Amino acid sequence: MRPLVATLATTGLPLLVGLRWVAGPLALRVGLGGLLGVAFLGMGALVGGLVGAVLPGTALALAVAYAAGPRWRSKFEGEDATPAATRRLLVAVLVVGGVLVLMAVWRPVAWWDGWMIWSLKAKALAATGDFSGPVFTNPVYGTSHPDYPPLLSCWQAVAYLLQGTSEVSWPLQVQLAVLWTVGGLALVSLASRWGTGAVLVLGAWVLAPHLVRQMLSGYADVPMALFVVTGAATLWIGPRTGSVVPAGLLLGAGALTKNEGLPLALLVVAPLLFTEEVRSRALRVGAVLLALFLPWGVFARVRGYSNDLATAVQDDPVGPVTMLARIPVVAFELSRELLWPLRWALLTLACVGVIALTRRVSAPLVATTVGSLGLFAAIYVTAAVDFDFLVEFSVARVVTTPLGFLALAAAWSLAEPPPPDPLGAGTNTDIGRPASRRERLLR
Amino acid sequence: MVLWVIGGIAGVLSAVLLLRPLLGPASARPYLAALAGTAASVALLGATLGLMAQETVNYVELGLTEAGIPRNVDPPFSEQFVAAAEVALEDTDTWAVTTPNGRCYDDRYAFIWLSFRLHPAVPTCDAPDLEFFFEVSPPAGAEVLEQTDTYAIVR
Repeated sequence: MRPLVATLATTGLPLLVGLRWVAGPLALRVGLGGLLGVAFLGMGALVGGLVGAVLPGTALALAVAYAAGPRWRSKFEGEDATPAATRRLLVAVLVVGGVLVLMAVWRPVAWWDGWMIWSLKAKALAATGDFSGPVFTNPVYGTSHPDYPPLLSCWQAVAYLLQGTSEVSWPLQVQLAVLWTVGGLALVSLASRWGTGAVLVLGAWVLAPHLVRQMLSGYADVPMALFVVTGAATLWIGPRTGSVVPAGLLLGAGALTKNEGLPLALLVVAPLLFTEEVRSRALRVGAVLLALFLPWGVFARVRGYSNDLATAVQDDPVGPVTMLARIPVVAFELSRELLWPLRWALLTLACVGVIALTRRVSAPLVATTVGSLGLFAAIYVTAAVDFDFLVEFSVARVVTTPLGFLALAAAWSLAEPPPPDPLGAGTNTDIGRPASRRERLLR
Repeated sequence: MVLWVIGGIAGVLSAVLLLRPLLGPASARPYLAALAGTAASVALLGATLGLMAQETVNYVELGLTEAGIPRNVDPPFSEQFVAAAEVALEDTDTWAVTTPNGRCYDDRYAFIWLSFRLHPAVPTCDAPDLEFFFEVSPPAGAEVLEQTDTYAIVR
């Protein structure tokens, strides 16, 4: 009974809170509101954990967010009549989400990183009530990467605390299934504002086989990707006024979910700083996400927390010859993964095809996509641990977020009416017509 | 395998039923590319869900409720051994484990999996309070707390 209560409390309560932050079509409210609610809960538990008060911190964060919702609410003015493609994709997300929730009830923390990093930290936080236990301080747990941001672990720790035991893990799996469902609803609903083509291409990412399979693995890659990509979509597709806070919150949640979340979130914002019309919005979003990351970042630095990958680079850096030799290997492995049909179906080909056929290129979104791939390539090239092992067991996961950015760039190319202005700046380009210098800058 | 095939068929049918009505006679090529991308995702997702269902059935059959395993293979330790280890560990006891692949991090996968299962008991490979031997005989003369055909717990 208590696991059920823990599950409902850690998924239903954040949804109720998040609903107060979004006005618009129901699916968008549930999707975006659900993600925001999880972000509030996780951040509350995280800050609570910093001062040894996980559950009070969680309750306070949810209460404050509930009260503040109407004041900060994002108003998405949308059509009442949902397009056929959106309806169909929303149904698909709900059906797959239902199947995932059903399976989750019989699943433990499934895969390696789940029990090595994220859920182990959740157990530790639930056991000690803070981040000072052996899992964070004893070198024997070095593989659990004590400095990695712990939003996912904090969310899971609340479930462990509420159910009173950490020997039953299915509530954690249900949490992940629900997160995928609300993330899918959010992205399909947001894409609907850009028309049917955008819905299809972002739907192809949400429903990509490997993304769904990873969701119940216990790894943090997909939760982070859902936060970051939905944050980027909110920034690009959301209303000109009122989307700074939710976009910042979602990007901040992504930054707090996994170690590469912060640079990926910054890669969403950074290209927009070169566009005068949207610079101030980008700066405000960046300020929100950095402010959210700050408490954990400072805490981990002050405590001297690190991880085995970082210490290996410091202790035994890779030489330039080795780095050069790795570049073609990394390029090949990343390319092969992006095109691997059993994992990502036709996602990459479809997105690149859309952009090429429309000849509409969003420079900031392409920069974000290429930058995110470059980030992972740089990590692999400089990694001082077992290179072959690292590439073999992680490349399939790390491309998740870059593929989400690519899908968003393709969605922009298909946007109707063509194409949406960058963040409400107010310019359009017809299909095939070369963009003016000003238009290129705005994109 | 059966669930994988069923899922695959369901995925293809779902893709057709879900997306065929969106295929208009005058669909532009970029739109068709997006449609193809979604159709392929939905079609292959069916097989993936079948695979995940098979994995889930495997967890149920093995009685795993706390920590799973990546594929449909046996977990590194039996539930009987984990239960015995949990009973043997007292409040602040530390532990180490030896398997046919070695001691502690020599068998990285098994060691980390067991660390999760036995948390909050802390593994300590230098002078632990308890030493677990799984499918390995304990050293002669050790103070054996419990021994079966597959494991021994030594203080």
